[in-house]
Amino acid sequence: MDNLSINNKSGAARWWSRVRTSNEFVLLLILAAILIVGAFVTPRMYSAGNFYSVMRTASYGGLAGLAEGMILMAGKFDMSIGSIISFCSIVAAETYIATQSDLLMVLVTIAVAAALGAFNGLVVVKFQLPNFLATLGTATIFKGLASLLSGDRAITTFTGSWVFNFLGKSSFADIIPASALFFLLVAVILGLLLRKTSFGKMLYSTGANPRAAWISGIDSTKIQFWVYIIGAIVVAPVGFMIGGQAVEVNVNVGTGYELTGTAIAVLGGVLFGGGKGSILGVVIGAFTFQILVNELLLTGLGTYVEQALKGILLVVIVIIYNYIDIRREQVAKA
Amino acid sequence: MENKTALRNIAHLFSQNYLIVGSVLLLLIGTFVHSGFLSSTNLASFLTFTSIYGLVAISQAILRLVDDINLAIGSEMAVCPIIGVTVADLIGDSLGMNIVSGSTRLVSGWLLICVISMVVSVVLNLLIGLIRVKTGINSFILTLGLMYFFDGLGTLLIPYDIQVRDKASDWLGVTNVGSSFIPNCFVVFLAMGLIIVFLMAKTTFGKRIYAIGNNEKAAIYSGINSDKWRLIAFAVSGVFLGVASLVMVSRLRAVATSNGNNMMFYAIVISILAGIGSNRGSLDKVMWGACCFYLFINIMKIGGLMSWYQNIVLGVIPIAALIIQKLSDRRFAAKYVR
Repeated sequence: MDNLSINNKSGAARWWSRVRTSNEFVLLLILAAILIVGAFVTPRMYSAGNFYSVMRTASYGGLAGLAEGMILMAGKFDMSIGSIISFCSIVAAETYIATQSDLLMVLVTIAVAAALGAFNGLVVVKFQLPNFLATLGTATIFKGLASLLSGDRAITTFTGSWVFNFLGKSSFADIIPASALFFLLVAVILGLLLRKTSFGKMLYSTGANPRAAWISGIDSTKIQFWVYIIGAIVVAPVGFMIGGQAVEVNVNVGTGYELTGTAIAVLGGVLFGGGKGSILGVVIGAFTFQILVNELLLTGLGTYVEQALKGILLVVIVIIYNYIDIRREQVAKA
Repeated sequence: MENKTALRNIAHLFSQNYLIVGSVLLLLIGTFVHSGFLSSTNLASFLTFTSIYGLVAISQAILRLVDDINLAIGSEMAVCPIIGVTVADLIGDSLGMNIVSGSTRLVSGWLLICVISMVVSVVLNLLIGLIRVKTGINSFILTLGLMYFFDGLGTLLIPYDIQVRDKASDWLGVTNVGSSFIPNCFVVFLAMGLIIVFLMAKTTFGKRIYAIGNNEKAAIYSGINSDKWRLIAFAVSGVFLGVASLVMVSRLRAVATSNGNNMMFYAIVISILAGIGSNRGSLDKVMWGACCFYLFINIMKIGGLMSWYQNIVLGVIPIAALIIQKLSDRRFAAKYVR
């Protein structure tokens, strides 16, 4: 059909016009603007040490963003991501202390994460409860389980664990932290899953319109159920990263990551409501978000401000993207 | 045969008033669990916290009725008095009054703080409503961001909790009516609750709210200014939230960032228990729901259940309630809808 349409543009011009209108391009412009402003306002941010820490923190939020973004793309929401991180980190530390085996620890953590995700999926997808209210309930349950397992104490005696140390402290030539490389690896795998497999295509159509997807033969409940499981497995390593870096895990390890993840996913162009967004967008979103927060912190506003900033950023991002979408529709109509 | 109908009628009556039945049962259980349960101190604190939870839950329920949600409700509850104290202190400084002494003790100016907090609460809610109405953004994601914003703002404005030492503040949350065990705030809660129940049932306000919650497009086509009524709903919700935050401050004798902890969750759970959804449920059930829910928490605490088990149970409640609601909806549909 493409051959029939009249198109005078050359290949390169067509590619450029596609890039120009993409969300990722807008995001890169925002990132560039932030970096340029930063060069004048907070030149301190241009140090290898600072970029190292930005990359590390960005990978924590980035993994949460990938998980939350995928769930949002499928048209659902997960409020329990923070509690899943906390619970998984405590399970991992306890398993390591009990068995002294890294392999067993990783397997148990993945199994537990999958079970938590499946529980969310069961409640939200199979029982068809409102996704926000139900996952708010499961978040409280998971947090309770985490306190129960840890006795509300911090656990520190897992220092021999290779996985904790690698994800928390190692780096590639002291330039790129291992956690950032791991984050990019997960992003590539998820990107391939969403773009190259039928699962990905079914996920997008489920998010865009679950009923239409169901009518055209897609088992949308199954897709959404699996998305919750994959999401939980994707965020579980954040516990290793934070725990390895701080040499301590407790019930508050994952607190607030549902917000950070949502903010990053939405900044990365994932539509709240489903059916739109890309993994590349989320990755750029993670770095943009973290650099912006870092820059604002370096201006000397203090640590209290970080939370307030994350909150207001989410609101501002949503309002701006909403405005851009409305404009686009108006332009398309005209 | 007659016995059977009578039984069925009783069963129907019970299922219609499950929250009242639940409250009575929980009261009985509580009496058995702990001997101090019926002491006048515990009863007074029961009525005080029922009032606080009830006011917050009504604030959330009004928004749920128009298919909106306010996740920032707990943070707003903490931040309104914080802004109130900060502004009052600034005013006091310019007038030469001593309102906050030593940056951690509030010694005077309670009424001024009440007025400012109420105004702030209503204005904040109106602002949220305005953004919601003008941009059409999902109130869920909007208030999710604002929740963290208000939390941070609160810590920024008062790094330390402020102890309230103004005697005037005791009237709302500590003092009882005469020599009874009924606190003043419970009377306030009953009065405000009855007024809003009356407004919802008998006036244009209630009809518009239910109409918008049922089907906003249909409401607009039948000439209802849905934006206006949604904003009014947000403002009314702000009034209830403001009063709740002041009762909390008065009860705890502290303006603190932790004043609204868990309140968002509690308010949502109570409105789920009361069967509130867009265009469904009534606010008198929310009042009974608050009573039932606080009794439940009180029994768990007084019975000495570990905090993590409490958390797990609290998480199960909304999920179980939603599942039961779903099943009863299905049974209702199977019975009456062909």
